[in-house]
Amino acid sequence: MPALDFVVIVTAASVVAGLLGSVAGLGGGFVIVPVLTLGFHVSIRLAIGASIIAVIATSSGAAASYVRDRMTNLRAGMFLEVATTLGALCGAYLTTIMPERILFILFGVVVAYSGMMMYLKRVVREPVYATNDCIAAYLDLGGSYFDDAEGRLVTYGVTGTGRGLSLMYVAGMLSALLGIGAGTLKVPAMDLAMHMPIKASTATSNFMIGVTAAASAGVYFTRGQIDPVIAGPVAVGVVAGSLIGARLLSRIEASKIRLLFVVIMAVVAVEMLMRGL
Amino acid sequence: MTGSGSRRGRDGDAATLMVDQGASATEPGSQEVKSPISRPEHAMETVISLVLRSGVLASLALLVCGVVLMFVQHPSYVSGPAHGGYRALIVPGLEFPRTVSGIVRSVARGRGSGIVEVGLFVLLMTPIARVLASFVGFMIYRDRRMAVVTGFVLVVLVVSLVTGALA
Repeated sequence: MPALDFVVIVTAASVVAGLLGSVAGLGGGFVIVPVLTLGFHVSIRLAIGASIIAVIATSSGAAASYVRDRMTNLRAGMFLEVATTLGALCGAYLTTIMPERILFILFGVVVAYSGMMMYLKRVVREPVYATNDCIAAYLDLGGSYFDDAEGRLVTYGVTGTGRGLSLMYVAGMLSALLGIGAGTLKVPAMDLAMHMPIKASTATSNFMIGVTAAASAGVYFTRGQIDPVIAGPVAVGVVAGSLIGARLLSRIEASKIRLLFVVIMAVVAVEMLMRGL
Repeated sequence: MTGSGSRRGRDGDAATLMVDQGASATEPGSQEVKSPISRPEHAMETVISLVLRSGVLASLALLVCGVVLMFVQHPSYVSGPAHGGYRALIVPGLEFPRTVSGIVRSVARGRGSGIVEVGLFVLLMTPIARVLASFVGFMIYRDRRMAVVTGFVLVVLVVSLVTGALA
């Protein structure tokens, strides 16, 4: 296949990935690496490099609007980014020594877990207000946002900073190893372990994902694991797709999209596991 | 659950984290409550979103130009599989410049591959610029603790860029 066709097809696939990602609320990372490795026989390390670039592109675009919407907890996010960036750095160095098969298996497991998380219903809990978490008090990590749906100002405190840091470290490492945004790990970490309301967790996670990806992308860039012929079209396609998806978001039923995504992720998980095993 | 909420002083007086659930920012005589408007870092958010948006757009423009140029400069990419078609281009560690001097030289000669690299680099820089903007913001508002936290993240990011080739 000539290079031009390759670029065109990869761009088209990335548009689809970006579209699905923005509508379903996840990054397109889960789709890009499998498409590149399974469909085009790209080396998984190059696929990860391209995907991490796409993650930066989409998250920087999405984060901008969330931050403006004032839902993001900038302080908690920045604090947790300490852990995610360190984890990402370790993960980026680990990618070179990890055998490819392990990466495939790990990818399949994480996708399967994320798909399950999407499928299961969440229990909505009231946020906590007073906390005796020392770090949260020291850094004043609590926040507030105006909830349009409930029509009121929601204020909350933050707790479980130790647990949050550990989970974020793992999320950062997985983000680097697999070229994904790892939002499906970050949101539950903030929501369940740190008792942040789900909307603030989601917004803050989107805010954090780009920085985490940049930590590993820096390593990949200087190491030559980012091939511009792949990463360029992927980045352009994914951003275009996510912009289209954002326009469509209001018109499509979110639950149907989530179901579609769960099915896709199940297929992807199986394919990646089979490739690794 | 009620309690007093007080804004942490810039010079770092201790304050409790309890907030008054029912109070609003406009209620007269209420304790000072953390509302979206009173937090100084929210003023940074407009700057941050501008940085992100323009960074992504600039990098995408460079990427598109670079890829188009690459195809213009290498007609073999467009037509048939000379040396294996696209597979020749996805071999790890190929001809693309990766050091700063290499990229500069490549761009100076108008090579599409160099321009694509610049586009990727700009994209990579976008989140780093964001962290830098936050750091500056925290310094301006004299929030030393968050400035330290943000500074640490910045250091990790720079380390990743600088030492990637060494490991």
